[in-house]
Amino acid sequence: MSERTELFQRLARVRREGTPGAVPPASQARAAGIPAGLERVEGDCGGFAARVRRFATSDRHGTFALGEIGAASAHDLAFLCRDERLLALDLSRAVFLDIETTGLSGGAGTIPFLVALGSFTEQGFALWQGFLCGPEEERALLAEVARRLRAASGVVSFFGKTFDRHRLEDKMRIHGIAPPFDALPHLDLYHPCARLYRGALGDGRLATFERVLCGVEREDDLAGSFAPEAWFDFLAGRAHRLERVFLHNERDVLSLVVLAAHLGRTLEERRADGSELGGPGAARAAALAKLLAAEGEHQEALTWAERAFERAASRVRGLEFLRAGLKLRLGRSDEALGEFERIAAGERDELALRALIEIAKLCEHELGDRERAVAVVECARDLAPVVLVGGARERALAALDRRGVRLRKGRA
Amino acid sequence: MSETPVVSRARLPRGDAEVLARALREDPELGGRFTAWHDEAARDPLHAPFPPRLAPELVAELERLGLRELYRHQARAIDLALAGKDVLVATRTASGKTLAYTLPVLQRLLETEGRARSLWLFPTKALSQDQSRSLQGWIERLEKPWHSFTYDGDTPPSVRRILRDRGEIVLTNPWMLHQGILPNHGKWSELFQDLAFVVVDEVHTLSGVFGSSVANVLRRLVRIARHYGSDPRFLASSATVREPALHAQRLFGREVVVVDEDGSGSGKRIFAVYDPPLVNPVAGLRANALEEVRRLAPHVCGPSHQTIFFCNRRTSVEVLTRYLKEAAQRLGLRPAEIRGYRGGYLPLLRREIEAGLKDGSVKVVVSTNALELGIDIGSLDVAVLVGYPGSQASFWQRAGRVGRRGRSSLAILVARSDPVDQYLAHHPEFLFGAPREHLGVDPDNLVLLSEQMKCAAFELPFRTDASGTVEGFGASPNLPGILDYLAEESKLLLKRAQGERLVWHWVADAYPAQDVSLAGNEPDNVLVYDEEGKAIGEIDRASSITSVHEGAIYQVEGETYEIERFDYANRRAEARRVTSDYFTEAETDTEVRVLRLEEQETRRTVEGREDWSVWRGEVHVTTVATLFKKIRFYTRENVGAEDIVLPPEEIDTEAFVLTLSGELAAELGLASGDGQGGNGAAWAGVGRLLRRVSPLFLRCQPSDLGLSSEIRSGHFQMPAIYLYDRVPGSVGLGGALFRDHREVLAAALEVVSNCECALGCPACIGPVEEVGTRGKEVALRVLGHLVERDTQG
Repeated sequence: MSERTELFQRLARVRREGTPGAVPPASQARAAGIPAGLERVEGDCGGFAARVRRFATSDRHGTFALGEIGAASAHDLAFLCRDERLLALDLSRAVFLDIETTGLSGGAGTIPFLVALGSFTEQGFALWQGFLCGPEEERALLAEVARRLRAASGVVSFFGKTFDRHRLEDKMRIHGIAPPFDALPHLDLYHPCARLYRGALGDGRLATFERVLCGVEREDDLAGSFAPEAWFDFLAGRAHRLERVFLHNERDVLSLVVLAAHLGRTLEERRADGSELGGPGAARAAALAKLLAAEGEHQEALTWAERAFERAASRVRGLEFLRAGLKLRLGRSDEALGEFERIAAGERDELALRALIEIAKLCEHELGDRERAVAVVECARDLAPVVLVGGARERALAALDRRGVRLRKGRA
Repeated sequence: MSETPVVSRARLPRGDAEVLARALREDPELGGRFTAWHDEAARDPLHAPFPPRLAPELVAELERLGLRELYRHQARAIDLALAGKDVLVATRTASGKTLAYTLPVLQRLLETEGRARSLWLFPTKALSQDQSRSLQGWIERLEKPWHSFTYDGDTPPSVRRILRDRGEIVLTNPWMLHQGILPNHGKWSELFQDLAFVVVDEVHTLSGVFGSSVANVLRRLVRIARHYGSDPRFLASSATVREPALHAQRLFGREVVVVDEDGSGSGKRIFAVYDPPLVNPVAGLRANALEEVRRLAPHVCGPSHQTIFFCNRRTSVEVLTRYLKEAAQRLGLRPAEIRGYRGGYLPLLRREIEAGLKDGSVKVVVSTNALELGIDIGSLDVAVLVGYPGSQASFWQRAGRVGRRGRSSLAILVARSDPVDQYLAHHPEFLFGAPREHLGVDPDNLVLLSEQMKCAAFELPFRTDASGTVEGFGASPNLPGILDYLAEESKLLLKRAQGERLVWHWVADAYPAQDVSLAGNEPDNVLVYDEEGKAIGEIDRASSITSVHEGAIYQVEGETYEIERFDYANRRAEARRVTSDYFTEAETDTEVRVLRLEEQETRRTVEGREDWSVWRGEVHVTTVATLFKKIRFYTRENVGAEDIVLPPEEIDTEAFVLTLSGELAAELGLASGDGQGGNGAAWAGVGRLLRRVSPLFLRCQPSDLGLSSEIRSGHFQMPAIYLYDRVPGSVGLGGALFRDHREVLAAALEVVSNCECALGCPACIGPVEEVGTRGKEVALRVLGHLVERDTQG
């Protein structure tokens, strides 16, 4: 028995991994199934492969034309993302980024084997897909990606602030390439999508948002989770699924364009051609009310809250509470009191408790009715242990007790 | 750190430990039970001036702490470190080792204006937090904008990023380095680019599987640092060990300068070995060590000094704490001045006890090895070791907890009815002589190496150099074979040729470090909850099947809890507080199957027939926890037993095997097949004895070695004793026993022949109930034959 065979047998035994199946020969025709248009790119740090696909601005992805991005308002996007840096983002000079990696765990061994950078040109939209024919090409690809990013005015991605950026950044550091991200405004579409629609749609996946908001239907799409396997297969000489990975990645990037086009019209609620913006309007109006309220835009927030009510199929207590609060801040105390009373008289939930507290404050400060304030605090004190748990309960009870003591003192 | 100004506390007048010792020596009842007294005269410290290279601000700070000069070993270590050498300081507890590696790190930071970063590794989380506070103090007093922080499981994610980019000094532990930092080295690139020093504290704890795994983690660390262009030096500290240079060489993969001439001074140190009286001279049974400690307690505890008791088991800590608290009044103490301390206590409770020891409000502490390492509790006055801790290094670490310069101290080893303890009671020179035990480290163990190479390949590709050798992972001849295996069989790597060189890249959707264990006290612990869902303690997974099985009595600071539910898969045990007058001890059952034998040494009779043999080989071991006994406090009477139902633990590992030929077995009265069970029992007794004396020559606990003895082995068809590493894949304990078996057999023979019992006792071959009436006689004959034959060659 050769030393090597003996070592393999010992390793198989001590490592207890079982006997793997037969290895397909690596010499199998690699050409079969290689994505069309892929060409070698040679740079200072070696080579990799890339292909470019061009689209006209009139080309549609779902119900949107790619060119509709031109009507997206940077102000709306910055507001929805709560990120002022995005005011400076020029979408016509931004890079739409999506990567495919060998896994989701991150770490030095997770390889970004396909990096797509889409951008608008004078001719239309160009999608550049840089691809690793082997792990040894990583440095060359990343150097080119960094160069292209540095030339852009910003980055658009979906969940890229959390994932794509870090996979690229970690790998660039490993290869001694300065990561360009800190200097670039980054529009991560996941956050505004989730803020506006996640509640109504039930999940936060790109596939859900693009379908509902932009009418994108994917046929024959390879799920992203198969991408690592497809690349490993390619390395082993079986390229059969690779074209579908490229296609999946391409669709992801096109979805970034149309989603940004959609989100950039959120406050208008109309597309560039004047047609109505799709998607769950009630959820959108409610989310805008909350966002505006947080910015201190109470009047505008109230308008969106009213719209949300008009559109909502059922009563939404959270929204009622928000509206009552906005009215209070706009000086319409009587209306606010009435609404808080309705909320408090409804279900016995946390909102009812918060409404009681608001009523107590109103009685004390606006109406000067300490008597009633004390009674309301008593009611709240009874309700708190039912609707709250743990530390929140402790804190709420302590606050109510303090309020009760103060009210009684004042009354005495 | 030892240079922290001492908080003034109630102290014995000078020389009082000597008074205690004299009283014990002259005590009519106890005096005769001490088998050895050993005095170490007070040592004057050997000083050296501050190295000229030390910056004025560091010198000023040292002077502010009351230091005018350094110990000689500190100055030498600092000079060497600043000259770019890898250094290991191997001196006693409290000899200022921390300062010896802190100063070069700070000096380099000053010289480079904060560029020279360092990574510090501590064997426990508690130690790194202790050090972190101390370092932060230095940085604040130097008024530098540097950051030193502890990176462990408790570091909040929001803080981590800031720390990765800006931490000049990063303190962590081997597990975090293995699973968190190295696999994500891209995030730590700033640290690795400027990594000047890797500080490794208490390297004598890095032995066995854990040490061998850590040696590989350090290979990964160095490989990554070199990738980023840095070439860090190792600064390490250790207790006094045998062949420290060799140990460091195996651990760090390079030559290291050892500084082991201890220049620290100390007061007079008095050591004593106490052997409990024979309570049953026929059975050779000695009084229980814990009971004896209760008798000693009034002589060594008191309101005007501090005493530490070290126990080897968590249960003993709890039992003794309870005994002492109950006896507090007789000791002149309040129960609150007596505390238990062990690893499973939650951090806040431990901090409170440590503070109590430092400020003197705690007079007595009963601890496991948790207080053996460098947690800062100041120096105490009297140490009582309940049983030999299993290694000379541990013995000295524990004894080193007492004794401060200018004061005398007392350390007493109370021998148990245990072969090693009894051997030491009669050979105290073993304790006070040069270290004899080997620190087993084998980074090239096939299982550990292949698992660690998996982790390493995830981090950076492996390459061959111009001569075809795999770079940066030691010199095992198996490196290319393992890489090919991981590529071809495990499908984790991709092998590519790059010109003349071969490169193996990681190409798999996995995060290997997550599934690769370092063994040792893995943070993979079982948490114990009380009936209100409050965590009351934790225990490592391996010990859990024998200590938190359903029905077990679990103890925390003398309180007893009964385990009601043990969720083995989810590492969770639920306990109910009970008043229990018993504690529990579990038993296990083991089966060994030989997979392959690799080495053999056979002694032959004059006629050339096989007489007996020793072997080294791979075995498959199945262990099941079978039942537990309930043992009453104080009387230790057995008050019942119940079954344990838990899944078996299975491992592949390496074993040392001893076999006797059929003729020899018959000649010695061991022959099988005649239905005389007593002979098999004697053979089992020999096995237990070998296991228990092995730690004299290997750095391990008897519990690190598994044992199985068969009077007629299915594999060998003759009597066989298997002693194996209890760690999957092994760390070479089997091989070390194979190499050192002569010494082990000789020590075993000496224990049995010196033992005063008539027919066998727990201190030698085992009690007569276990080994039968002829057990001792047969065992003596067996060992006598093995040792005699051996000296004849």
